[in-house]
Amino acid sequence: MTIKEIVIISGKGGTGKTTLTASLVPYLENIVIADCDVDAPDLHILLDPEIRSRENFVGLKKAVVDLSACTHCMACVDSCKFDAISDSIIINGMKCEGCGVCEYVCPSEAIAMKDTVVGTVFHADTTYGPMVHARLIPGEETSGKLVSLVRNEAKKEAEIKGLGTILIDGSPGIGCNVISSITGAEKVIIVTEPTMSGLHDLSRVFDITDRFSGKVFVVINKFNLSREMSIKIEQESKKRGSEVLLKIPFDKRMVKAITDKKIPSLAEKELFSEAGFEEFVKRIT
Amino acid sequence: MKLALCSTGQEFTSTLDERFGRTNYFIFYNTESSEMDVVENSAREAAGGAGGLAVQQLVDNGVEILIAPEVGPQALDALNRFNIPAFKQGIFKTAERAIAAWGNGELIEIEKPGNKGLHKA
Amino acid sequence: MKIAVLSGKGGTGKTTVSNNLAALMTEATIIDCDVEEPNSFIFLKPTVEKEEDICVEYPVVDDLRCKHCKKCAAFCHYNAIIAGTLLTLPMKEICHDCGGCAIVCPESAIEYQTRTIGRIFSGRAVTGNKMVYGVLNPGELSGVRIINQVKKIVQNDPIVIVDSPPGTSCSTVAAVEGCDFAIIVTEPTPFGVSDMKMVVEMLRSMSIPMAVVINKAGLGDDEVYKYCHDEKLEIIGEISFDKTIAEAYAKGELAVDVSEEKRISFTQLWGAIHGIIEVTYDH
Repeated sequence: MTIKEIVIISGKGGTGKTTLTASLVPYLENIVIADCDVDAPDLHILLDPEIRSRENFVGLKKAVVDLSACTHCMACVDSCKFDAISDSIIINGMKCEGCGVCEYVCPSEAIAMKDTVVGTVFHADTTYGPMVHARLIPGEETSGKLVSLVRNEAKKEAEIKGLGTILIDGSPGIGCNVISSITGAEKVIIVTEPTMSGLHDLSRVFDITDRFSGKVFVVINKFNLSREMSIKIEQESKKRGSEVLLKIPFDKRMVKAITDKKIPSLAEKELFSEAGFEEFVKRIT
Repeated sequence: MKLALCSTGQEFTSTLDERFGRTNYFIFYNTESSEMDVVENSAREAAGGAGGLAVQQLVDNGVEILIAPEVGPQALDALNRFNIPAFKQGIFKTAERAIAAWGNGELIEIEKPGNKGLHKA
Repeated sequence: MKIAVLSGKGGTGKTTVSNNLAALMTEATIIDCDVEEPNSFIFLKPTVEKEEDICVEYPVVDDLRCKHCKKCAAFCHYNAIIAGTLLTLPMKEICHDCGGCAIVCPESAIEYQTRTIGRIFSGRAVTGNKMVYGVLNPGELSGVRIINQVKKIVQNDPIVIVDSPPGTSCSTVAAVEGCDFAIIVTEPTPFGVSDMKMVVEMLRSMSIPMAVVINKAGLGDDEVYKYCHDEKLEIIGEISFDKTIAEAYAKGELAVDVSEEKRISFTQLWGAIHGIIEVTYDH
């Protein structure tokens, strides 16, 4: 069985990526939900999943110093290219990238590379299907690896339970998290907003998705905030070979739904229907 | 000729995997001796660079031909440098069938990079 | 004095706050460390005086010297080197530029070449502020090197406002590291609160003092106020939700240019920031 992955990303943060993902959930059948926005995982707030199991996530190994064996020869400090070791041989875990150079150059065997727990992965169930989400300890890196892990776990759930679609809430930006979120997926939906920033960031996201062989669609959220910018976004999308499939208005009812921790497309069915949400769902599935 | 295939299981009749770098197992098949060998893919749980680590395993095992679902641009580059041509497994679902298809010249060589590795064009 | 403006959740108004604050204090330097999606230049329209490429190094094997002992590949923690009996092949896109392979190579067969991962622009904002911002090339994995270089350029400037990346990943850590004070911009929604909690946790582990600005006040609910109260986080300003700000933002204009009222509210925010920084550093 082939499993189809649909990923929602945004480039610019705060454009409504999670709102759209949550809104799609009740409209799709046989799905696994994956929250890959591991720096700001918010999907669970609207979907209220019941956690079935949790496991620790181990990132890259990190350097640990045994100061009693250290002679302060500074060899490690001089060879660390990440500036992660202070002159008093304290290792900054947030800067250490786990390369192992310090361990190698240390003449007194005072440094060892050790596994560190940097996050948690959750397997859970929602009314609409199983969900995999994760939480990274703030400030930790290797979020790209955690994103891959969440996707793999979601795939396993889909295989075991015979579910054909995985809906992924991706990350903002254009860095490693985003690349890990969309690599190999079948469809990508970019959520943007009608602002200069939204347009600028959209064009940078297209630079990433250009190398991606799946289909790419665009959704404009809050389109009525600036109709002029909305038109520019439609033009840019067309230029980049993508179509704007949905335009959602700015409406205080949307904010209200989220504040009430409700799925917006269920709480405000009419608003979504008027925006053409049903047709949109058909186009992306 | 030593062939490598990406498989979800350890049998000739197991379903082929849809991933190269993170495939569950590699099945090795020697066309002269008809011997088969299976190794667990150590790149499966790798933090990063799964494609490279997968190529390393093929190199270590003296593989001459790869049959895969798709290969990212970086891994494909590396395979090229090590003179390991890669063929698309296509519609063939098991190692058994894909090997037969390869023997009949039915498989297409992968030339254009797939969408698996986006790190840098 | 380096003041980081950050948010956890994207789109809460980090750039709005940092840029409008900068506009009211022209002696401050503004740096945009959101190198994945830099937006400050849209509002501050800088005249660029200097540009520099940011490069990383990657290993290249000298085939004449290499004896294919595979020590480099065995050492590399990122699996970035494939070693065969006749060929040793580093993969530059996976390389983290740690320098380890050259150190372990017994034949000194590894040399480094450079490649560009992004660019830094320095100049003057239309408001008169000194401005430096970095841009990461699409497809690159990490902008940390660019952020570190941007910060190095302004390290001796008396007042620096740091527009930080959203989230709490390594880029955010790099942006706020070494800052004297952090302003968290959040919004009164469940998402705003949830993402802000992660930022608070990160800043506490880095021992950076902080205060909160609530943007889009009036939308949403009061959960964020309760959270700040429980965590003893001071709310030093509120920016009420206002369509005129949203429209100015859409067009790439500063809120302080919209009306005298907005100018006054951001001036008051500066006052509150001064106040809390003085209190923080007097004790």
